[in-house]
Amino acid sequence: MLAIANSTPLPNGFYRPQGVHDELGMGSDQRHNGNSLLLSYLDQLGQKELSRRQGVAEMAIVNFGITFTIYSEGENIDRAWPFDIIPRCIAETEWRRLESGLIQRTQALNAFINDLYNGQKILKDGRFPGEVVLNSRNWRPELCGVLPKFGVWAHICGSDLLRDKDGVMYVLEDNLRVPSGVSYMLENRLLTKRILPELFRNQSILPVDDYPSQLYDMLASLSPRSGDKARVVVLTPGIFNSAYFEHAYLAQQMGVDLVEARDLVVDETDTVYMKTIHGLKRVDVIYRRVDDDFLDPEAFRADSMLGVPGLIRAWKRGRVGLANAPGTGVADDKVVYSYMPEIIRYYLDEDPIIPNVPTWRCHIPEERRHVLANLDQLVVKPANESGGYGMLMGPHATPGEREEFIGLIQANPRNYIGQKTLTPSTVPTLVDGRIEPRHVDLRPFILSGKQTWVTAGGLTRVALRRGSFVVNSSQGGGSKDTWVIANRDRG
Amino acid sequence: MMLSRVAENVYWMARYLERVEDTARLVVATHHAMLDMAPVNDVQPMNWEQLLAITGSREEFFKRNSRADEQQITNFLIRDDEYPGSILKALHFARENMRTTRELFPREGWEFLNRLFLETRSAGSRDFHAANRLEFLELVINECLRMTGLLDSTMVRDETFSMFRLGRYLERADMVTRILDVRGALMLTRHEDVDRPLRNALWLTVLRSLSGDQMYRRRVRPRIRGVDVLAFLLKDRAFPRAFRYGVSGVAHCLEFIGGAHAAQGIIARIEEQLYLADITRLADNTGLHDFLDGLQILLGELHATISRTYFNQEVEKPSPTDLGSSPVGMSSRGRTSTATLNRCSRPPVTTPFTGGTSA
Repeated sequence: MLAIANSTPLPNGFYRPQGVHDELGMGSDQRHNGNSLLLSYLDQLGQKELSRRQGVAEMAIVNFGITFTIYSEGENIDRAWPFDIIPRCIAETEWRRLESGLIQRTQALNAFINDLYNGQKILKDGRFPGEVVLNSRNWRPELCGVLPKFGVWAHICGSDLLRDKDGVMYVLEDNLRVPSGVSYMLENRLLTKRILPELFRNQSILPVDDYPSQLYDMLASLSPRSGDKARVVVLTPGIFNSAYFEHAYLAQQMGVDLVEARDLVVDETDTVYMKTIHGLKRVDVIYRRVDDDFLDPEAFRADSMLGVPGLIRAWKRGRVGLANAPGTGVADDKVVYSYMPEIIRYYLDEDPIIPNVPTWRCHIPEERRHVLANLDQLVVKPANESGGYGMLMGPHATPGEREEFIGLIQANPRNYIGQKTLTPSTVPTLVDGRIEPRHVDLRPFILSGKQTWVTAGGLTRVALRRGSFVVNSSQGGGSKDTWVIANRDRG
Repeated sequence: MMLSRVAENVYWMARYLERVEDTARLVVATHHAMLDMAPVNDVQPMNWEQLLAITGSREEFFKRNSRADEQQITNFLIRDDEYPGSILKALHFARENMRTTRELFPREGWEFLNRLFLETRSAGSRDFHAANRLEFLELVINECLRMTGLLDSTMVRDETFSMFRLGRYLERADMVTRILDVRGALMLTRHEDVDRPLRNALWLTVLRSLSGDQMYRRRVRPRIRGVDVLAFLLKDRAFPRAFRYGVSGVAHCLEFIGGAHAAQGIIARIEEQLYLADITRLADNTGLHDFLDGLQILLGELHATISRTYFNQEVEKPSPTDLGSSPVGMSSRGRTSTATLNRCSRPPVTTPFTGGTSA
């Protein structure tokens, strides 16, 4: 049942990973992950007890109401969050390196966005092709000249990391718009503590529960008013949004109000208020979980009924803090992603610590030719979509699907990139009472204010279907608790 | 500082939760009474149909049911999916209202309500018979009490908590007038036909449906007497399920939250009515119905006023110097006279769970 080295004889129920990097003990060199404890523990527990505990976890999830919402057949359905009880382990040594890589990346991204809206030095220096961003649908020219506090635009970033066959972690993408999943990271830890309490006694697992406080402090630091206690709110599109659980959860954890657009109003002095039982009260900082398009009908989409008229006006005048800043999405783009190594070198004068996945950009003729010629080996992604939609998984696609993408790429080359197909690492996962390898990714969350801060680990998403690489919860993915296991010398 | 939208959701969450408990109590009490009572002189003093009158759901009931018998009526009150006052549906609304406001409550509160909803829904997916029905209802009552206890022992005494209690007290006061109105009127009009022991037994049922029989005996007297029971349930200041207790509970909550002068005025009028009431005469069935009708109308006004004050204020820009002012809105969406038109109709049960009474 457990993964073991190829040289060892295979005990009953253990799986032997093939052609992938299995994070739990594929070779003896992996044992330093702190996994050996987990391995022997799982073995001791036995499959029956493991299945029982999985059942307990699933009950807890239903009872706690940990859900995500999917829209299906004209109806919103509240689904229980799929969770696997076997934690995914990362050694602290490796984690510290990833952490600094993420901090480096986020700082460079923020410098880049701030530059785009203020001076466009990188374009003038010819280090980044202007047409790529200036034609992007996420580019907001009306925001040019705005200087948010600390020069930070992407206050909350969720970067997706993937470990390939070679054991190296790559950054797959940076989610800068309204990245979600952090509440599940927190809930997963609570669940694991209930389900596998024994394992927390014998090793030091870095805690994750500091996130709400860190988030609150960062948000409060964006307040335009000094001295006063800042009034921070979380802005949600409403209960039918797929991440509503998380919006409510974060508001609750931070002890702030969860508001909808209809609760807010902006007056002629460009001050934002919320409607309370005692009349209007000033709002200082909004953690908005609403897309740019639906933030303010005055600014972005006059046809939209959603949003708070005047909000962008208030933000531009520095009367309210918005996280993430409007217009941040311009950097949440696969083509921008492909330039990240250059962007890091340009702003920080450092080499990237975490590598990008090799990427070919279809707006550059020779790279496009490479993509078209190697469609059966590459993954093709649209530049601006998230959630795994609109992709072509070359190796698994039918000839018809490849034909379709050839047409799409040629019609709009700017909108596509090709990427090397990675084989995400596997970790042991409980499937129908048996331990089997399943592919995972990792989404750490990075907070940027005056300083930059990274969660210890992040959300591990797991593709629960055999052989599948798709980790999105809307498409058969689940999640696991992620353990960064402290080095022994820390005690 | 509580958002108006959220306040409205909390208020309705509380009302629905109380409705769940009260409806369960009502069915349990009727169940016991029916077992105790055989028809006297061809008069059956109790029947299940009274529950439809108390809950104001007769019309709704006959839309989907043909026979007003025990089985159909109890099923309707417990798990009819289209009747917003049924236990499962009210629980559903309570849960939905809490789902949008869960960040205000201790997380155990949401977990508890969510679990209660899921469990009762699965238990209620099949028909009940007399024995398992009782078990189920007692479970519901106990769980509602646990929920109240949980919030009571963990929540900060702030506006959210007051808004929650406000909803509960108002719903509870409303339920007392309904029970007294129907049960009381029934017993008293049949004055000559119903002999004294039976009348007393009926009063006992009234007390039991409010869990008040023991407390009545301790506080008032061991013997059940109509005039005393009526006085106890209407005017007692210390029994938490008495009408006056509920109303003064509302008053305390309003005082804590503040800015509710108009609503306090209505409470003063209710107090006045209680003060002026001639309980002996009322217990003798002179004008009891009209009296209770008057109270229900006042409760309706109270709800409408609370709603105007806290939930549907017209947006008024605060003056720059006074950001803390509390504008009292003028928009009126009165539903004050519903009680006059159909005195047994429930308070606005059609309220969508997501947004109170928003149009």
